[in-house]
Amino acid sequence: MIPLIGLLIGIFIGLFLKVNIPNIFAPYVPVAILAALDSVFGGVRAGIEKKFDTEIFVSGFFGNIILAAGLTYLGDRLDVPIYLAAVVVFGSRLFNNFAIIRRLLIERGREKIKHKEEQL
Amino acid sequence: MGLQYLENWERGEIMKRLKFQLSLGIICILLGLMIAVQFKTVNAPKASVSNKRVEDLVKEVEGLTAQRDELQKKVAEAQKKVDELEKNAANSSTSVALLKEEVDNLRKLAGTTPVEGDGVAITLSIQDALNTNDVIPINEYDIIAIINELNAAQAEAISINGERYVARTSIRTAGAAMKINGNPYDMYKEFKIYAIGNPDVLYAALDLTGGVIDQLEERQIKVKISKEKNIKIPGISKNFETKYIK
Repeated sequence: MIPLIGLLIGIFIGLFLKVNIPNIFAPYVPVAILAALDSVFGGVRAGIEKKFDTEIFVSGFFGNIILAAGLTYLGDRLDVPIYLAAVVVFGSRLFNNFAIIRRLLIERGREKIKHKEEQL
Repeated sequence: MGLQYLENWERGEIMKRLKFQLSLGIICILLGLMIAVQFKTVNAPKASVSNKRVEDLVKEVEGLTAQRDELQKKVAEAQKKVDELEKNAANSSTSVALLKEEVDNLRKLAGTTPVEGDGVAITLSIQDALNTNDVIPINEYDIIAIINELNAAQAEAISINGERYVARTSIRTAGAAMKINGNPYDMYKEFKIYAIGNPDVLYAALDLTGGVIDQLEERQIKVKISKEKNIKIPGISKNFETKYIK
């Protein structure tokens, strides 16, 4: 619940804040967003698996963003589309994490129903 | 003892959950912020010019053209007044009359006043060749070559599409337009070049075998040269400034 509220708050702040990304940074933000999304999904998954660690999560969030943006910058300098690597890796991890979250939630739901049936 | 342990365990679990939710929430604020700002940046209008509708731009051009014509009229009127004043001054004394003569001569050379005289008229067009493939349209080098030829044959005044050719005239292509003295002309339409000078000499200079005109005709460009009497060539409409000449 709190993460969802946080997301909404962030979007509101972003929409009403009169801040535009400088043109120099414009190519790096999409990759950074992808990295952030990946971290958040990973965090949710870890939370459901009860393996969540705040330090790992926060450091992963910022580390991923910086690494992704840095790779994109390096790719720009070297004229190699390295950002594709970030897009592919984060993209596939996103789907992976989502699949695991889905599976865990469904399994847990089934267990709860079973519990209730057994109690009855 | 067992209950205490269970309670502690439960409290720890709740704390853990809260920590998880809070850290995820804070990170999500950042994520939302990034997404929203990026969304705004992507959707932002690229330039204010593209927002203007074509009709508005057309209206603006029409308005400015009308304004320019009016201003040109005013310039002509002012020029007339100046001429009158000069004439009056020249009548009053001989030294002024001599100066006026010199000024008039210099004006003719500089191309600031309209002139009249015998010469040749050249018409270039590619209209007939347009439906055949690989036509190279008339470009600035063709015009410059012709002018060069005319100047070599002692042409005294030259105009291209009514633009007086002067010392500081520029001829260049910009997109599908030929810009002469900064004014655009359609490259795919007729070009009319007038030159005042000895008509026979000018005609002969252009009519050389293997000369400019021959080369143009090889490229399917239709060229018409004719000797004409009393050609009227306008003065330059542009006002050139000198900023750096000391």
